[in-house]
Amino acid sequence: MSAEQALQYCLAGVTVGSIYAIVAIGFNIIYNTTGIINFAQGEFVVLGAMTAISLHTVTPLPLAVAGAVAITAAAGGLIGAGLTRAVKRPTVLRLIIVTIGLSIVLRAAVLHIWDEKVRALPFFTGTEVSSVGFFGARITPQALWVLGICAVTVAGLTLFFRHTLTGRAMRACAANRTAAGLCGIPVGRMVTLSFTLSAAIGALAGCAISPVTQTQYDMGAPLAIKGFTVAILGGMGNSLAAVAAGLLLGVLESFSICIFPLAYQHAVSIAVLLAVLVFRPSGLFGSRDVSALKEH
Amino acid sequence: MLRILNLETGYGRLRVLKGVSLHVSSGEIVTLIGANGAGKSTLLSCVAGVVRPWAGEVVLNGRPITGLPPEQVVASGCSLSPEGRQVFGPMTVRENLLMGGYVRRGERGREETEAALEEVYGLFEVLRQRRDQLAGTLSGGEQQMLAIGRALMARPRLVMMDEPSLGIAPRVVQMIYETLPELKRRGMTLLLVEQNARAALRVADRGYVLETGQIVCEGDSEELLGNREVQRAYLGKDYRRIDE
Ligand SMILES: Nc1ncnc2c1ncn2[C@@H]1O[C@H](COP(=O)(O)OP(=O)(O)OP(=O)(O)O)[C@@H](O)[C@H]1O
Ligand SMILES: [Mg+2]
Repeated sequence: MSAEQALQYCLAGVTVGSIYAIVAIGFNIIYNTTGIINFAQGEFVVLGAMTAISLHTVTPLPLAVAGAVAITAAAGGLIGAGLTRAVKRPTVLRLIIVTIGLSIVLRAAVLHIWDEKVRALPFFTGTEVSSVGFFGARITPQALWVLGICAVTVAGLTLFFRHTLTGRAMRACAANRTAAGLCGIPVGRMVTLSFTLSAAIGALAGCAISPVTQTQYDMGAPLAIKGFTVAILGGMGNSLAAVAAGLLLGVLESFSICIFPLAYQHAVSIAVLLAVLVFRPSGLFGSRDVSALKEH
Repeated sequence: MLRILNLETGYGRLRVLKGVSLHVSSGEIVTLIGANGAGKSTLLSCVAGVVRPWAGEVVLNGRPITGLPPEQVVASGCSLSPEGRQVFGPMTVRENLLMGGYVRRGERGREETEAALEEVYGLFEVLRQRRDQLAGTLSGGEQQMLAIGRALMARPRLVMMDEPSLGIAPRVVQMIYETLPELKRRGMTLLLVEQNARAALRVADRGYVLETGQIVCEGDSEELLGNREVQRAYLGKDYRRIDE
């Protein structure tokens, strides 16, 4: 393989990896507040993209994206609020199972509102054939958009969780729900807020990746699996690590094509997920000590 | 300050409190002693709003708080330092304390929270030294101080402490107990739950004895320390060994 070819594989991997990363970030927000894995995260991505596509028929693209983010966030908030009220003893396991059910319901709802047709948002800049040169290899400008949005969200979230009272209160809820209540933190409202936030970021992800991946009602689940793998790989709850892990997995998958047949591409990420769960459950970048402190 | 009337509660079908009544007057240190499983922690959790009451009444400063959620109980001026410390392990000491002051969120609250932070650091100097350390990596005694400090951050008028001596070296227990009269001097009222009855009765003004969900005995601390039944059941040899 020539150096140029290798670089091209790398950039293809980065494109895919940035998509995984932006989906993974959504997982981390709910995890950081509740300790649960929201298996409906992929559906937030689809819902956001579909809403933007519909809105784009009547409004310009930036407005359509903003509207889709707002609508999906509201839906996420409603779901979070409903969840905290409906589930009587909200243990982590119960809530995770509820989110699995929720993902099925949401997928059916999206199928019902739209249909099974494949749709896509237009490229944010340029078209599908335009590309940016990079040392002789080429990358689609949309991948740069996705990476840029990743960077901005990660920076924003890090500031939010580390330095604001509300962000810290959300982390306190995950660390010890009862103690958070005893501090005067309204735990239910924090859970609602975390669903709102991660639905918003899921929707933003959906809009950013739609021009590249296109959007169909049932693409939530496979996306969620990839996002989940990446979130675990980076270390649950750490968004910066998730981006690094996403790019790593993307590149890994991209190079796997030269070695294994194309059909094994997804098996690579599952294998990675299993390996990490067995050998390093705290993630590649997570510190074992910190994850030990999180045990409830 | 706090009045509890015929409080009943439990878990599922298990009835733990069978009609408990007690009161704590403003400026007092009152202790509640009793054996394992008597329902002491359940009583405090119920007042704090973590466990729902089945029957009875809880009145704080003349205002009924029966069955209010924890955040509203804290907002009405009553904080609990829970059994087993329950600090936020993956967060720093300072962040843990800031969480204790969450009720004052908003612009005006920031200065007061800084002042409260200084007070807590003044009370427990180790916490200041360890402020950027993750709470989960503190020693048991330090975690207990953090749990108490976190409860104080809301500037409560009534502080409830559940077994602050649990699993801690005697020297540290003594240090924590020395701060209790200081809190009283600062105008706080204390409800202290202990198995270590001797240590508790020494700092307390009054005490109650809880046995299988019922108050069986109450009185001034000296009275209880001299009471035959109490001596036999709670101040026996085992307890002396823990204490001395
Ligand atoms: N979350 C719970 N679910 C079910 N039963 C519980 C729960 N918490 C406590 N119990 C039961 O309630 C009873 C009283 O427990 P509680 O913790 O109030 O006792 P305690 O007086 O604080 O004891 P200790 O001195 O050991 O802390 C016990 O029989 C206990 O098994
Ligand atoms: Mg107890």
